[in-house]
Amino acid sequence: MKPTLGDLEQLVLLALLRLGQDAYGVTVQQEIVTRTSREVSLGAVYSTLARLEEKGFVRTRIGDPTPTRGGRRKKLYLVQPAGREAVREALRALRALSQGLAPALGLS
Amino acid sequence: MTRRGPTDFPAAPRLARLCLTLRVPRAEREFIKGDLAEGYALQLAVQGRVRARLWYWRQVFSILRLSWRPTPFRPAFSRGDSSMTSLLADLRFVLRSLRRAPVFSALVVLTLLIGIGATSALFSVVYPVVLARPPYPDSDRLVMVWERSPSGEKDNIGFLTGADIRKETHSLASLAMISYWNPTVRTGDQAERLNGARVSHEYFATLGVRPAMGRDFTGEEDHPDTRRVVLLSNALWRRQFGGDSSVVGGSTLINGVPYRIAGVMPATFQDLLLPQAEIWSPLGYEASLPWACRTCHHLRAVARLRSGVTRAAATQEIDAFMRTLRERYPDQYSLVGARLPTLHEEVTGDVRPPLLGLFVAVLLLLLLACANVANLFLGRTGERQTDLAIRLALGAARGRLVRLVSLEAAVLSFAGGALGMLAAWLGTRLLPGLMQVPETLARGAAMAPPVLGLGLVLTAFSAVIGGTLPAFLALGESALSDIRVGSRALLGRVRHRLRNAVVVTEVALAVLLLAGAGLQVRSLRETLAGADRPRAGPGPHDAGLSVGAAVRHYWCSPPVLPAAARGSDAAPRRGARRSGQPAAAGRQL
Repeated sequence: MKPTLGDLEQLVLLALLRLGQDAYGVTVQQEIVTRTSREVSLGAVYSTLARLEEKGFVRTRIGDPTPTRGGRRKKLYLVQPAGREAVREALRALRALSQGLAPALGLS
Repeated sequence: MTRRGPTDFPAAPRLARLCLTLRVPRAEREFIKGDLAEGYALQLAVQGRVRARLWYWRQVFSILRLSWRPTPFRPAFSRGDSSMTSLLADLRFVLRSLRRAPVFSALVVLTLLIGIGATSALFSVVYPVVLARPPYPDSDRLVMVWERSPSGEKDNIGFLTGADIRKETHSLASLAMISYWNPTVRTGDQAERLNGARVSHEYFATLGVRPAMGRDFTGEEDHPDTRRVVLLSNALWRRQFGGDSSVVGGSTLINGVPYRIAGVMPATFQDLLLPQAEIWSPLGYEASLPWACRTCHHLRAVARLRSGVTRAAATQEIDAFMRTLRERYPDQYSLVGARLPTLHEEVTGDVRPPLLGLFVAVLLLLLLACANVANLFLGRTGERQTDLAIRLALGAARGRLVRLVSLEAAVLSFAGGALGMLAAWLGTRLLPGLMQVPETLARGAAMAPPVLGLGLVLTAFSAVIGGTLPAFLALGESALSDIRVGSRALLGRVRHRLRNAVVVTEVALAVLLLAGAGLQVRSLRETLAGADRPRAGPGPHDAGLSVGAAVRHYWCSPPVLPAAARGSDAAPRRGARRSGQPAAAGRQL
């Protein structure tokens, strides 16, 4: 059975896809907070990223240091095809389940 | 790389940074500190200094909480954690958690104690009695020689038949005949009636054993006039003669007649053909004696195959020779051939089926115990669901959780196994005495290395079947990926499915056990019904058996003499005597 995605895993993968080449711990956190208004800690983000890496959904590479980081390097995350497929599957399931529920949910 | 930039923590909490330095592995520290610096600068610009510091602390706490866990960032954060250290940590955790669940632990240990203890105890009897080879050199070459009736049944042989086989066939290196003997030995004021045997002078040489003291019988002593010489068992020598080595070469009164003591057999010697025998004397037959005739079917014969001769070839030759004898003496042979079972088959033939049957039943009992343990572990996994779910949510690896639960199963199985082996050891020491099992059998029942090996295998088997497998299934991929704190549905479903499987297995095993028990009872009933018939030669077992004696008799009696076992259904022959009538032996003196 293919590994499925948890709630936070979905959010992190979507944030990574949005951020593209500039996805690392703090930008992922900011992306989620800004777009969903959900408070997500950096610890939870790191933990989720590590899990996604273990599942083969993302891979990492080391980025260049920047002055805003005090000259420290970044650990950049890239979504792999398996990760894209998992997101597609999660969205498909969400769509399939929510279809026709707009009135019940009070959505226009 | 790690120099401070102009925007780097001018006011970032120093203590929080110190905590990070202490707790976060070096490999990850640079990236995390960089992320925090970047986020802090942003918060500082947008929210102000106080909120930025609060934000900073919140993030550090969330990271520290991860780094406190054994494997939050597998594999990166666990690099500095050697597998042995984490295993010891897991072991300590398991021991603590088992201390908190004494009833569960005691139940599992007790269940395994019964299962492993019973299996090991019985195997300690089964192994030497059924599986181990006879304790003689090249015992594969030792065969019994029986005459064969038209229906294929085996019968004792007459002295002259044995003598002719010895003289005229070539497959056998040696052949010895054996008859029962119940002498009364008198030493001082004490008289003791003994179980013994009269044997051809080649008997011990055929088996491949030599006396520990003194000498073996000689050919000259195997005659009617010179046969008053005996070999003693070690036990008899110690009991009747106080272990005095000077008695060897001396004489003693047997049935009121002086006999010379030729020697003493080794303490380890077991006469498998007559387990109760404690004294041996030469057969002392010759052709002129009335009881040495061809139709006097009261002797058993044991032979050693010549090196390189197979049992099949020997059987063929002796079978053909028996037909020749029948042609030579048509009025003296109603039997048509020979049968040559190996000594091992002969000795274990009677006890093998009931013992193996009982062993299988006990193995089923062990499986039942394992199923019960699996059920207990499933229940416990259910109770710990929240704990496991929290660990998963914090990023614990599935393998790590399975290892944790497996370790729990291993610890309990080891405890159950060790206590089970202790119980088995006590059983092999106490049970023979309590059940009055004959000494020969009790002596064989010991915690031999194969028994200990089996105990270890059973312990590992119980750990895997009882604990690890349920844990692995309950924490399987499908269950894990969807598990959430507070959401019990999925793990619950998995557990229920497993529990159903366990219940089905238990019922199936119970049915098998019941069927096995039924068969055992039937065998026992047949044994009791057959107990009135003379069965295995002399001794106190032959008449008026109690239930316990009948069971012992069934399991522990020496190899059956078919003619004796059949009792009156065999036609009486001239001069024939039943070897189950020991009084006859007295007339030979």
